[in-house]
Amino acid sequence: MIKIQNLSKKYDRTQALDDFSLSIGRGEFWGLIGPNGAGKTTLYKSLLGLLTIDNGSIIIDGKKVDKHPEHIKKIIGYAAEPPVLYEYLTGPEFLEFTGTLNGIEKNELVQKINHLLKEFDLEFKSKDPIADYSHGMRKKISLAAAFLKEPSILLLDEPTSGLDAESIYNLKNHLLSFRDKGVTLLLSSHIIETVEKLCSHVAIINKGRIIYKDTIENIYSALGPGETLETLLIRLLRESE
Amino acid sequence: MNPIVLKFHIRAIRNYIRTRLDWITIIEILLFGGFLVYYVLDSLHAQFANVLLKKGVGAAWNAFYRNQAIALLIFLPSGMAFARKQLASPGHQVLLTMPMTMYRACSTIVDQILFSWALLLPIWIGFLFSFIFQVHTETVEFITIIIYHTLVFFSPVLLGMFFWTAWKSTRLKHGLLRWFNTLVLISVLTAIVLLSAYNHKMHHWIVHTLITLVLLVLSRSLIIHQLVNLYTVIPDKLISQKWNIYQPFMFWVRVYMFFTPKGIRPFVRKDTLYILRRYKVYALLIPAFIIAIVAGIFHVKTFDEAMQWMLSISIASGYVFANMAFRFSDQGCELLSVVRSQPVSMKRYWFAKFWDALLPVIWITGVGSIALFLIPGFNLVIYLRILLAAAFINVTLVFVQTNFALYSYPYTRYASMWYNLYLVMGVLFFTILLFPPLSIAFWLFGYLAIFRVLKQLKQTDVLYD
Repeated sequence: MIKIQNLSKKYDRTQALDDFSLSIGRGEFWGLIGPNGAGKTTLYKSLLGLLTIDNGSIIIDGKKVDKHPEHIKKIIGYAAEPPVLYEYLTGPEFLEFTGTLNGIEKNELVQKINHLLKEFDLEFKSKDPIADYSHGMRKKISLAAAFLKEPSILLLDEPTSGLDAESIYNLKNHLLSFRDKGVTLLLSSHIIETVEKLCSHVAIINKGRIIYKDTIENIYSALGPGETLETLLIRLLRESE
Repeated sequence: MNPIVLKFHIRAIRNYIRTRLDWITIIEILLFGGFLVYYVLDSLHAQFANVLLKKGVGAAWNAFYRNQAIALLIFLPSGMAFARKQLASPGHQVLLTMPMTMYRACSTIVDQILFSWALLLPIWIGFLFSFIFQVHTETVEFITIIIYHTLVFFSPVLLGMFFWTAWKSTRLKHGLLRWFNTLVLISVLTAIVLLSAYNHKMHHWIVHTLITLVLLVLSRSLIIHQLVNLYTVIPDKLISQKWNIYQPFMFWVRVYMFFTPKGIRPFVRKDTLYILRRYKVYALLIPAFIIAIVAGIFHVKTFDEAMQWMLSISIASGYVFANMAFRFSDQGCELLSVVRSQPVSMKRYWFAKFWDALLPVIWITGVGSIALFLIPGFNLVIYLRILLAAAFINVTLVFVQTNFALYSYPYTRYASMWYNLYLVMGVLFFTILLFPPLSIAFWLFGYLAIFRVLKQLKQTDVLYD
């Protein structure tokens, strides 16, 4: 589904991605773990074609990202961290805006927006501008915009950041329902528990490189006595320094 | 004012200048601003000298008061806008969490804003000096006049803060002052300050100074009181904003969308809603526009004058709206990532910006046409010529603005923060105003650059964290 080969990206003096390679199959849920500035967000933006890459190639759904940007964006849902939204539109208006750009038919769009607003418990804010939303509410709108187009690939940048406990629970269930539908997911999070519960694969990234990757089952079987995914992450990061 | 807050406030101003303004821009601003200030002060100096020579000291004082009143009226909208922007800054929340009383924190916030405004004080004092050295004054009188003049300088920003806090208090169930009462109070305060200055026969500077001082101290106290009220209120008790006040606009938005090509409709709808909802940004321009229309009706006598006048208004409005369409609806292009991550071509996005510019043309010519019918002998041919010229120039301005922004910086997100753009646009604006046919050249330039712009839009890195 996604094939990243020798991807490199440099911002001025910072090497954000350094000869990064990864293959992701259809329906796989990948958890990306790493410290701040590891290159996770740069990876997402490169997958969407929002950045010009210095080296390497990205092939999604058999198509090169730089050659077929519109097709790629049609099948990818992306929720950024921090959420980037139009402050002076209301939540439903923002969803209508992104939904229309994705070519969703009007009646279907209205139904989907209502459904998502109900699911994310945002109906009571539907007449307010996004400027009046809390961080968690903004995050929900950003996630709803990503889910709206029913993508076959989801890129979620720290999706649980700012959400309350109930919303995190609902989000996890929503994402598990995506797994049943064969959606491919890339999820970055600093909360190891979220990755452990949701993902089938884990990649640990540091300084723009993958320092470890495997399926969650293999990781558990390889853990030493008393070791957890969290302690493994810290050990690997220290070793990679 | 708290010295620690002052110290870090100065650092924040220094950092702002360092990071936001490059050296070329600073030199440009200094040159442009310096030239403007020199030109104004020099002409005022000459005017006072002339009046003094021909009509005597009394008339010269009279001219000074009149000019001071005009200068105050010019500073009033800037001061009010400045106050609104500064008070709305979320940075003040930090100060509220510090171990000090709410009144202390709020007075520090107010003084911080006054301090920033004081950076313009040298220009204001320069205006006084262009006059005061030409007339004989006693030392005490001289010092009192400077104090009085300085106090007057702070009135626009204090009135702005006063108005803003009152406006925000409309969301409180028990606000101290409602915005309408505040508006009346502000008008009275301004009138007293102006009248006190205009009463030139008195020459009782100490009285003038004391009246102004009392009024400003009173305003400051009320602002602090309102701020404390605003900050201490529990958010749950806030009355939610009445967004349904925009509902009347929604009908016209829908009408406008009917005439908009389907492919770009979501963009134009978003931009239109955005512009309508951010009315505070341009609210002060509306009365200015109405004054220009009304003044035109009384002063325009011939066909040529009418055409020139209508064209000038169209260009001026087009300039403002073209800037708004690109600047405000995208908030520094940061939000370009929303559009970039959707399956749409940049061509559609870019074309929508031109459609945005058509709205003001329709609006301006619509209002203008009513005014034009009041001028005897005005015919449809002239009206159509103006309509075409206005449309042409508006589109040109958007072309040029978009292109210059993208040509000038590697990252689009910085484009609207690029201050040179406003200087370039200012020069173009006056060039087109003076020589309308030149807009053809600009239009051609913009049209030919379209391919490069689209390429650039696609390739520009989206960086927002």
